[in-house]
Amino acid sequence: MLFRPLHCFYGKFISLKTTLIFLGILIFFYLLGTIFPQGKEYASDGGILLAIIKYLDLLNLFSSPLFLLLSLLFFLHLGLCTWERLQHLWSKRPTASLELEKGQLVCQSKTIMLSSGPATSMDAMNNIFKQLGFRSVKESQEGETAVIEKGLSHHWLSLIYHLALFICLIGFFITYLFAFEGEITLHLQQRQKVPEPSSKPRWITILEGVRLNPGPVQGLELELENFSTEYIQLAKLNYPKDFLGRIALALGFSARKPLYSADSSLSYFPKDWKSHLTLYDEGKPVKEKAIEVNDPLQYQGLTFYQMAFQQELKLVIEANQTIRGKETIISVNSGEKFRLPPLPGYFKTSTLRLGTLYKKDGTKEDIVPSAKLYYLDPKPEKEPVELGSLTLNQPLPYQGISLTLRDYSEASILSFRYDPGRPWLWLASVSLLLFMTLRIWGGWYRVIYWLEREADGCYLRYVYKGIGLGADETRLLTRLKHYLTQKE
Amino acid sequence: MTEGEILARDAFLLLYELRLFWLIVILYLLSFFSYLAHIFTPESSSGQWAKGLLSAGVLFHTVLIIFRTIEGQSPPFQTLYESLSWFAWSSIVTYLFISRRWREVYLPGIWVSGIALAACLYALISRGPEITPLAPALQSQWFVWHVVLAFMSYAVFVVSCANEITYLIIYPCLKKGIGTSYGLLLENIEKFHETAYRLVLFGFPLLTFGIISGAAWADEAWGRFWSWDPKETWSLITWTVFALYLHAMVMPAWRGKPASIFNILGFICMIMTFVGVNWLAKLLGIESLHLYAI
Repeated sequence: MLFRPLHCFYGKFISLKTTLIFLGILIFFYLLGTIFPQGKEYASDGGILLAIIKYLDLLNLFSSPLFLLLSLLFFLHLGLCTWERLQHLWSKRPTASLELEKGQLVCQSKTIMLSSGPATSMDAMNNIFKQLGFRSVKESQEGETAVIEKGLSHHWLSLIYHLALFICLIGFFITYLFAFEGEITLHLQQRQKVPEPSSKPRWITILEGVRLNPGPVQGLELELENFSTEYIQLAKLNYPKDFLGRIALALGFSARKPLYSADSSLSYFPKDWKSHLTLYDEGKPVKEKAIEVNDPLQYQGLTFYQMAFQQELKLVIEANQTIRGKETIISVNSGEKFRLPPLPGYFKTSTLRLGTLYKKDGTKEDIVPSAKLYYLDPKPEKEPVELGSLTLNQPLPYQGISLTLRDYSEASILSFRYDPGRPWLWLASVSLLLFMTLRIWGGWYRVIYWLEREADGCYLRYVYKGIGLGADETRLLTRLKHYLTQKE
Repeated sequence: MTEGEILARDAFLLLYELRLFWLIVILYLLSFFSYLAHIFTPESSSGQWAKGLLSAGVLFHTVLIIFRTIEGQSPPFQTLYESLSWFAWSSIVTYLFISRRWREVYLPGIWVSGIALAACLYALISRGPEITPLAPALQSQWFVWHVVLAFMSYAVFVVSCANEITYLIIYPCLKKGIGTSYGLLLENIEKFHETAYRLVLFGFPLLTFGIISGAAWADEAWGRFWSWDPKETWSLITWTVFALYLHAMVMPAWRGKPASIFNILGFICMIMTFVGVNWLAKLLGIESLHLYAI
């Protein structure tokens, strides 16, 4: 009794219509995810839709039970559709006789007249099609009708790339459950233990209370041998902001300064930053590499990425300018606000420029370490006021005090990640792309043909089917006619 | 050369590059108006003029892109200014290539020239033309492949959408026996419509490659292949809409208008992925890892 409705439900679940419904619902969720931004940063940044989002708890939409359930159902749907297709292809037997198939398709057949000659036999035609790259699929018992194919089977290609998509989803689930990540700040010439990850794998979070080794970070240490930054000299463009000004400039009516002039302020554009690392496993050095953005260090499934860097500046206020009459040393992080004791208000510095500068004229030079000093207006809407440049060991006078950049230290900030889903995703995505491209761009032909002898001569009758962008009936016919002419 | 001489040279080259870009915009504008004139006077030679002007424009645009590549010594699609120019150029090249088969059909040109013109004007009016060095995040072997193939798919989708809209407008007219002077007839309209489908078929693997290469690049640079960043999510939306379209096209009940709507929706999503997402991120205060493209 139950079997029939279940069978009916199963049939509906694996139908193409259900695929369309699933894709439609997924699009809806993705749209929600872009309108309501994901992640905690948005909450701390105070986006304009924060109140609504918090109320509906939409900040973690892609980890919500509803989306996970939808993904799981889609995963099942895709898996079952692929399985059904595989079964269908595997058990493919010649269901109808060739004569019956020919009878059904005869109304769609097209005709080419053959002149009398050697091409008017089935054997000769078989040879011609063989030369055109076709392979024989089946032939009627008397050899009067033949089915031939060319190209990779679109059924199999389609099956494989759907299977690849299925494996992709498995990869996503593995990543979702088992991946973890963390952060490490490395100071120069200091060996440091790779810390426990900041985020536990989800499967541990799910099975709360189960304390298991989260991954291969135990026994690993990192040492920062050297950290270097490089900059390129960049000229500021003197370009109008308004529409009319831009048109006037293009037409030559503008009396503005040239786009770049010798007095243009030259700024520093970051070219690269590198961390020269040594990785130790159980105390033994196992890997050495200079990592940079786009070039991480990999070891036993764990990947270390260059994320950012930190600079600590030692600022000195001279003894005669302090209340206590002693030299005051202030340690500040670049970009963070701080106080200068005798003075009211807050200050901050820009990133400390140091390293190598690649100049416009092709030369390069070592940058004298310097950072800009800013006064932060108590009104948050006001821009910071630039007070001058703090150059190493050169005092900067400001409101009766003299501030000197005495020293600095740098640290490299790395992120690390362990993701066992990655190999699955690589395998699946490369297969997906390869087989999808072959299926869509390639050409698959199936031709049923037979010869008919009439009073006025012999005719080749054929039924053509071409799948894929590469399948072109006109091109095939041109080549066929060329071969037929050659035979004659 | 001294620093001053280099700056003077750069200023000179950039000024003439800007002038060339404005000339290209004028040619696209004239082409767009000629295409519009073709709607009202299909018998006249306005369609041919439009195509001629578009071809001339794209020829100069090719020179501009080569010039910019040499000048910047890097691929010309690092900033939004450059990407918009590249997008306009690739869309027109694709359209001119496809239209060789439909020599008498000029209607899709209205959409393509209009979109290319809008992209170029947006670049010239609201973006800065300076050539900047590659930011560390962009210094990857994935950069060129990811961008070139993604933009190839964009160009293909633009032309597909132009053909789709043309079909949706002209088909009911042809059924009523009007609009036969636009080069399309009831006998060949379905064949013309098929080009829209074939173009999406062609672009879909390219878009897939764009997404996969983007994920691989993100994995290499940021340590995560997918972060549900607005740009990533919109590219996934675009991919899913086109997947929906391709599946709908194999269902007899959905072929025709419903599927055509998915194609146009896919195009809108593609525009959102390219430029709209930046606007959305700014409007809603969303942080995006792809903000360097703004």
